[in-house]
Amino acid sequence: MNRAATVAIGLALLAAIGGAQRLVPDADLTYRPIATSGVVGEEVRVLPYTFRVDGVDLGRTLRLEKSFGDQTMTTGGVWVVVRAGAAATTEQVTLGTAVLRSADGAEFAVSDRVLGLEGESLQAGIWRKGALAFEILPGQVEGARLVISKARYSSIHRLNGALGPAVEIDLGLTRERLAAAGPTVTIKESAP
Amino acid sequence: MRNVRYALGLALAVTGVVTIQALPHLERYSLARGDAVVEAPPGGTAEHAGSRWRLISLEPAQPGELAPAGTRALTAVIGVTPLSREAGKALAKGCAAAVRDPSGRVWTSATGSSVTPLDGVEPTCARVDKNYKAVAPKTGKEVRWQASFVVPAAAADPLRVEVRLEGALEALRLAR
Amino acid sequence: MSPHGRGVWRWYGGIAAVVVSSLLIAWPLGGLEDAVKEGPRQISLGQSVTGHRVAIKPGRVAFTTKDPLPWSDAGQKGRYLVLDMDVTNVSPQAVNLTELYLDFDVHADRYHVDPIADLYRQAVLRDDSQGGQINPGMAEKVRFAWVLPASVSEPRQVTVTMRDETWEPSWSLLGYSSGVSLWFKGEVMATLKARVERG
Repeated sequence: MNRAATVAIGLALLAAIGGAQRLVPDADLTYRPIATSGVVGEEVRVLPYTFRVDGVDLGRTLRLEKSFGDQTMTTGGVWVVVRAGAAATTEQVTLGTAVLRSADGAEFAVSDRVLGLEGESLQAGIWRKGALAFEILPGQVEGARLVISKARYSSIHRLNGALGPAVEIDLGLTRERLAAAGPTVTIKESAP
Repeated sequence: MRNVRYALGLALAVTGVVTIQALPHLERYSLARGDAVVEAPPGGTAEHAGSRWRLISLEPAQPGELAPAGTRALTAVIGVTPLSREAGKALAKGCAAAVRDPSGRVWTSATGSSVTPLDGVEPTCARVDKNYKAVAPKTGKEVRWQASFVVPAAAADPLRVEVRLEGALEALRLAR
Repeated sequence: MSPHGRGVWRWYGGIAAVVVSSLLIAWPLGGLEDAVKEGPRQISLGQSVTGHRVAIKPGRVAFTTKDPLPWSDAGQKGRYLVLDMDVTNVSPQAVNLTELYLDFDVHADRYHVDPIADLYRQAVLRDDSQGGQINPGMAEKVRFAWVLPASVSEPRQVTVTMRDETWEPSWSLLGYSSGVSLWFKGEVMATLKARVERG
């Protein structure tokens, strides 16, 4: 083989290596939790727990019924309250991280002003009902999906976090649902 | 001779790379060891962490105010006899109890608001003094302690009781 | 020189040529840096600065003896330094205030405020409640409060440096990092110099 051909093949191989390198998914994609999708009313089963959304309410203010007096909370956006139930599969676990992912990919964290279902201890086979409260900009309500990931086991002998499962629920949020939102949405804060 | 040196260098380099890559996974390995179990024969005793253990009873209990619907309450009474001073000290650090059904589902011990505790039985595997401080039990003397559980009404029998001492890698499994 | 030795020199020459030629191409194009760095902006109260994660508009710096973030109605008397800001989250993820707080470094006159030991509390303020996070696109009123030691006299001026944060893949030589992206501390994006109000 002459020298020119060798050089050409070498360059082609180099380009192929570069191309293959670009096809390798980055760590964010590799370690992204594997999500199981569902809709409102459907039981979604993942390894640590089973989760079901019973309904979604929207409101400009949130009334929180507590054992020692009620509290009303405003927001710069709109309150989206997801009413849901969950049960652990084999051992005590908490849902972990809950976000509302808007159609453009922004992730709204569950409100830290409300003690919600996301932090409650779930026991195997025992359903717990509760709410997840989010504050989201009105312009981003349409098409927002609920994503729950990073289930936390209470046992130190389980690894938490990366590579775990996730639940992704289409909440059926539309512009019409937003327009029809009541002034106030009420939830009962869970017992600790 | 030079080839031998090359081979040695190559072997060292490969070992080094493998070691560096394996180090982060050692933690995972030690976590996985947490699944080890010492099993007692049904109704019998087992020695674990220098103490002798037995399951005295596992009976239905009075549900508390906060017991969820569709569940039943259970209380286990466990007897533990430390066989040495060190074993007694290990008990004083506390232990966690759970029940496990034949399909592998596990329920950790519940609070007093979910299950009403029994009178006259210690709340932990160590004796508790007037100031609610754990005291190491005396060598050779059995401590009877209780752990309560809330399980689904349909949880299948036989349920086995699991005890894990604070900081221990192995768990102990007891059955009636 | 032996034919074998000439081969080695040819290799060295090739490698050197590759290194030199890449430098020769990169240098006229602005060196090996991504962009020309600008120094941190000097801002005063009411001026806003936007980074990769948040836009900050400092509103007020005050010294007060009244509890600026009381847990109960009574509050706790003390020597407090208070920084009030309007903060808008410009990133697609929620910002936790405890993380945002660590981007700030404060000097009260010549005293360096200890970010851990001197911290009183930080909060997102609303009329009806306090919180600890800012969701994407949301503009919130944020208050940081510190307790000044008795040995430090009442400050007249503060200098606050604010760091930007950047979303980058994590990395570690020994493989302890998975490589997933995280928020990392970036450059100082602004320095605030402000007079301290009393009250």
